[in-house]
Amino acid sequence: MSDTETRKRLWSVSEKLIRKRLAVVAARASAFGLRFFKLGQGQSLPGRIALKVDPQILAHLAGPLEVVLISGTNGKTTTTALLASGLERSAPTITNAGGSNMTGGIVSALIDGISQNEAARFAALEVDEIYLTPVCRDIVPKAIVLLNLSRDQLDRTQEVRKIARRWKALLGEFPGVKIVANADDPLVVFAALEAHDVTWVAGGISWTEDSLGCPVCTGRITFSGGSWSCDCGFSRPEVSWQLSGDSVVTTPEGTISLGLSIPGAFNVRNSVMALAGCACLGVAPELSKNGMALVNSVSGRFQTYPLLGTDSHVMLTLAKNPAGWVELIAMVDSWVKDRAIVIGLNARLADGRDPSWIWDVPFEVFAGHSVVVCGERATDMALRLRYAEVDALVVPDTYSAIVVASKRSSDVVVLANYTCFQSIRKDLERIGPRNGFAGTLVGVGKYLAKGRK
Amino acid sequence: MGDSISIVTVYPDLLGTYGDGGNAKVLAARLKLRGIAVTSLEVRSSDPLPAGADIYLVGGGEDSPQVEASKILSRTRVLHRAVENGSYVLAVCAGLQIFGEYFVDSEGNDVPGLAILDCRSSKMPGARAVGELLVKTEIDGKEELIVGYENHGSSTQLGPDAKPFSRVVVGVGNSRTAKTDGIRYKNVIATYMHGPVLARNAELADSILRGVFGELPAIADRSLSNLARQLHRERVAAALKSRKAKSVGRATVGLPGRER
Ligand SMILES: [Zn+2]
Repeated sequence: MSDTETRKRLWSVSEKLIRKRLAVVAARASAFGLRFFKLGQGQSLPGRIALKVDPQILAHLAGPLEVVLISGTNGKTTTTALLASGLERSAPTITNAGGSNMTGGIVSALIDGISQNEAARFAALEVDEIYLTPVCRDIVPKAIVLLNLSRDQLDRTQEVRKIARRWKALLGEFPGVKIVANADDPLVVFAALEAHDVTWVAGGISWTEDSLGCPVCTGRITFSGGSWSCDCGFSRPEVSWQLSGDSVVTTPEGTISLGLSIPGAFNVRNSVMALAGCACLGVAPELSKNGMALVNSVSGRFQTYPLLGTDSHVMLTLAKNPAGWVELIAMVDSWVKDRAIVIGLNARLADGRDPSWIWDVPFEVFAGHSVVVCGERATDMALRLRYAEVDALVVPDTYSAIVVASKRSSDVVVLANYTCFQSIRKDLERIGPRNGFAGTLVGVGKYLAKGRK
Repeated sequence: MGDSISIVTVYPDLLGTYGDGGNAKVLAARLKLRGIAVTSLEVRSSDPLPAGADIYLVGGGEDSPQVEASKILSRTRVLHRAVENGSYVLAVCAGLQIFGEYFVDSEGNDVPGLAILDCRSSKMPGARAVGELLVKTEIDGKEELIVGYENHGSSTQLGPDAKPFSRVVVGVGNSRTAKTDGIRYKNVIATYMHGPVLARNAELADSILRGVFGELPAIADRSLSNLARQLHRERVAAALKSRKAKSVGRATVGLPGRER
């Protein structure tokens, strides 16, 4: 190698290092700025700035870490939280707990995580279904957990099958990556067809409307007795991880029993996916399950908040597409008797601009009950409910809607889609007494202002 | 099908992805609210499609299920006979395309449709049409604003004698050049509008029901009627606002979605 070549190469190496440093500094400065000016919600901005300075930043940051990516339509955030908490029992773990799951948000989370713990060994990262391909190409993870695919934000994703095809092409590119896949979802199984090292988990499926047409041939998939198959031979693979009963998990190495703190049968199945994900990174279920038991709410999901100025308690739940709603309806069904229900609907970019999907949710099961409806698309939701013979009171402002509901019952359950959920959560957290004296003052002011309207 | 008005939702397993199943719910509810007997059936593609229903609803679906639905419907010819016999049909998006002579599959190949309507659909040049769709059309002799949500990558060309369903005020509809949406033929209304279109436009729902039943009694439940009118007003206003807000290339390309 000539002298000039060596110099060139050295220069390019140091240029790369400098770029990375600069990118991290820029990201941290912007994160500090966001916090300082209380701009909130800007989780992805520092990452996006870092990406501008160094387009390779994701690969640089993830390089020293053992990464597991989690993707799918529903349960990403909860499964990621469970998985991260499971891994944490073995070694320090970085995660994007805020739910910022596109490239910029993931870069932000990694920069943040590494600055807090340079000894971190694992990263458990939730990734948007469409962003799985670019993120995976940069990071090259050790494992990927694929949860499920169903209709969601169709104005953005266009077709569910398109995502399945993208995933399939992606997994063909990375034969060395360990895949944890939900054997109960035909579209996930289709996506994993090209993968070499797959752990099949009985992850459950409650919404089959998007996978009735076979993704392999043009035939029909029939579901029966917990299994499914098509005449072309495409069928549910043999699983090695599954739930037996309510909380006992059969693993390839024997059975263990779970002790989750979060409610819902779907979360139990999410935790089986998470256990298998931890095992791919060498953390045994006996250890990881202890971490999972510590998770008691995930970014406000299933969190109960006191409602200021009342004796009421408000439980917050995310319901953002038909599959998610169908999972929740089983729980809500038992709630409607003695609790007040609030349903919130927005249709911003992150929710999907077209809320036609509310017509796919079997709200008819609430017929005869009364619901308070809020959010920017409250009228759409109220009319949907009225046609289902559910009485619906429209109170567009989310906080006022909760206050109105609390007069019906001191136990309030709020079910809202993504941006509506986030704004309600912000209200409840800011107003709750746990934010100290100043927070309480702001909350009292807000409560009084809203009460007067 | 007896004395009650019969509504058949065609193959929701293949053509039920975009919420159009709501159209059947709206029609059935608006009959029930008036005390008119109704039988509403959702018929999956594995079951035989009943002949002679009063109203058939065909919704939007993904590319490959759409091809499959077209194949089965071409074979059985139930819808061909129904249209000739004067049944009412509302066909939305993929449903519209299937009723034409040709449409395109995900690989861009031409696929034969039912050839009931004089139109053909092909890959639309430029971005996918995604957003509020506001149109003007005549309903029972009155000019009305109808509003829906479109989400399609194909454009539809009408034959020289075919009659469009409406003129586009905001959005794309059949194509970026034609400024029309959908097509009308006999008692068939085909459109690109999701929403579902009958939930957002009670007038259109009632006009279909009048076609089948004759003059309709008023709905006694005032609050429901008001709510339906309010939704229509809100969506019309939103569509008009969206025209101001967006320029030409509003549909997303590449990796869509903004980070939070
Ligand atoms: Zn098949």
